[in-house]
Amino acid sequence: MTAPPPWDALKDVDVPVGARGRVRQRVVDALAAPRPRRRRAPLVLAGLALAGTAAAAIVVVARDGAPPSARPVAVADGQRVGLAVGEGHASVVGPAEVRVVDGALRISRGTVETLGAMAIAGPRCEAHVEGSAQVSVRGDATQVRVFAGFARVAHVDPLCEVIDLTAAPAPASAPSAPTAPPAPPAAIDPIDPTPIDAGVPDAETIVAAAPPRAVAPRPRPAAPSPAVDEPPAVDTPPPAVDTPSPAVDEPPTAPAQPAVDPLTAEVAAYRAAVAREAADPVTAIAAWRAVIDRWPDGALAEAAELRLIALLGRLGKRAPQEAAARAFLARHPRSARAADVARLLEAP
Amino acid sequence: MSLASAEPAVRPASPPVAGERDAVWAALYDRHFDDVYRLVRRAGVTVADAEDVAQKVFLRVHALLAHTPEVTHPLAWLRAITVRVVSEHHRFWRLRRVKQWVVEGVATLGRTAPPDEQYATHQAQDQVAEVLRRMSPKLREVLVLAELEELAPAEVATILGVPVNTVRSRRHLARAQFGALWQRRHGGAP
Repeated sequence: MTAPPPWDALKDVDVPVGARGRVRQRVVDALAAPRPRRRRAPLVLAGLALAGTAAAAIVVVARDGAPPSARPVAVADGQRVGLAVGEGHASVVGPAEVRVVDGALRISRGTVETLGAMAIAGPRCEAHVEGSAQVSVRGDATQVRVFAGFARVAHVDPLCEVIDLTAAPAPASAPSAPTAPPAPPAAIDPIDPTPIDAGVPDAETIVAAAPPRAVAPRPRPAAPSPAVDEPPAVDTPPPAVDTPSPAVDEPPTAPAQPAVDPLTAEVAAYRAAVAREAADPVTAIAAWRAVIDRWPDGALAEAAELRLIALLGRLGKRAPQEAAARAFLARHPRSARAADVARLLEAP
Repeated sequence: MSLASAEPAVRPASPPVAGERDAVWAALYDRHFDDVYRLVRRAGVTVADAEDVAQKVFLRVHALLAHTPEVTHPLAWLRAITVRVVSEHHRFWRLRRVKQWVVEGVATLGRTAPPDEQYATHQAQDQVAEVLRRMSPKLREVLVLAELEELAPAEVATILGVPVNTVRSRRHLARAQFGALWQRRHGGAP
């Protein structure tokens, strides 16, 4: 009698309890996410642009029928065409059809290799890429492969996929912060070796992504709002790492001037908490909680909660970590890391 | 199970409106989630990733329903979608491993599995899944559908869109490749 083949072991696969409901909820949430919309330029910029370029635009349109930048570029099979887009360079690999509209590269079909910072758009996908990436559009589906740097999609869509092939989520262009976060431990989640705070952007990433006076959007690691053609320049002062803080329970660096932009203040507090985590992890717990309590709906709230969960895990505080994880799931059920946090709760 | 015995089409031939599409999707989900999840696992996806892959499958199902005029055999259609999604998952799994190798060094590739993956009840499944992930995608698809899903060559051919004789030859090659990989990994005959 011959032994059964080894693959027979996979015939008895069980569906985990609750998997049906969990997956269904995630699909429903993804389908309910807002569809991509065209970004509207701020009124001030629109007014300035209108006042400054109206005459020239009329002349150009009257002569050519369309602005030169909006002309479609068709690349034949086997050909390659270079384009300057935004603050970067795009290499269009044929067969492809693209056009540059308002500094953004709109891809109708084909593959484009990007280098530098630029906004890209597919049929159902808008994203901001920085670094080195490859964008492929086939039908309605857009796939962004990031080799170095990062990419942010404007809205989650099943036909808009970003594949991160970089070693770290932080952008290469971000200046090296004096308070770089410590390397996370090897295994916070016993099932998924990826640390729970892996992919959580540091403060510089968020600052680079958000326009200085923008209303802070509800963040999700996979889909923060891109900053199209705006310089990533909000230079918040570095946190005072060595300056003793009067009280641990207060926000680490509350804005001193009332005129400080809320996002700037939040970023400063986030940076200070990162710095404190490196210097004194125990007191950093209170620092993170202060950030979360002060800006519960802030742009960095989700990232701060993930950092807190990871920190509690590193310090071996299992019960507070579970409480923080439950709070995270309640507040951010659609987070890209929600499944990881849920697995953390299921781990023995 | 043959395609002929599959349940009838779950939707009319005309493209549905959004509400109807959701209803069709919900019916497919309720009826076939377990089938899709098991196929995902049998195709070599780990427990940690299985729900993510199943989610992608049903997201794609929802998107495709808008353009698919008629689904005559829902389960076969779902299997075909699942096979493609799993194949993409494995392709990027390989890329992730290459990235890990480049970034973290060769030593990390030989790390032991986390304790949760070492439960005796799952150990055999994980070993098989690991070998499956290393197989050629085309051969793996045939092996999973023919040996694990126990479909007839004609049904596999329908799902994969290849001739029946191709399925038969791939099945033969798949068994040989699995045996070689298994022997290299674990020693002994498969």
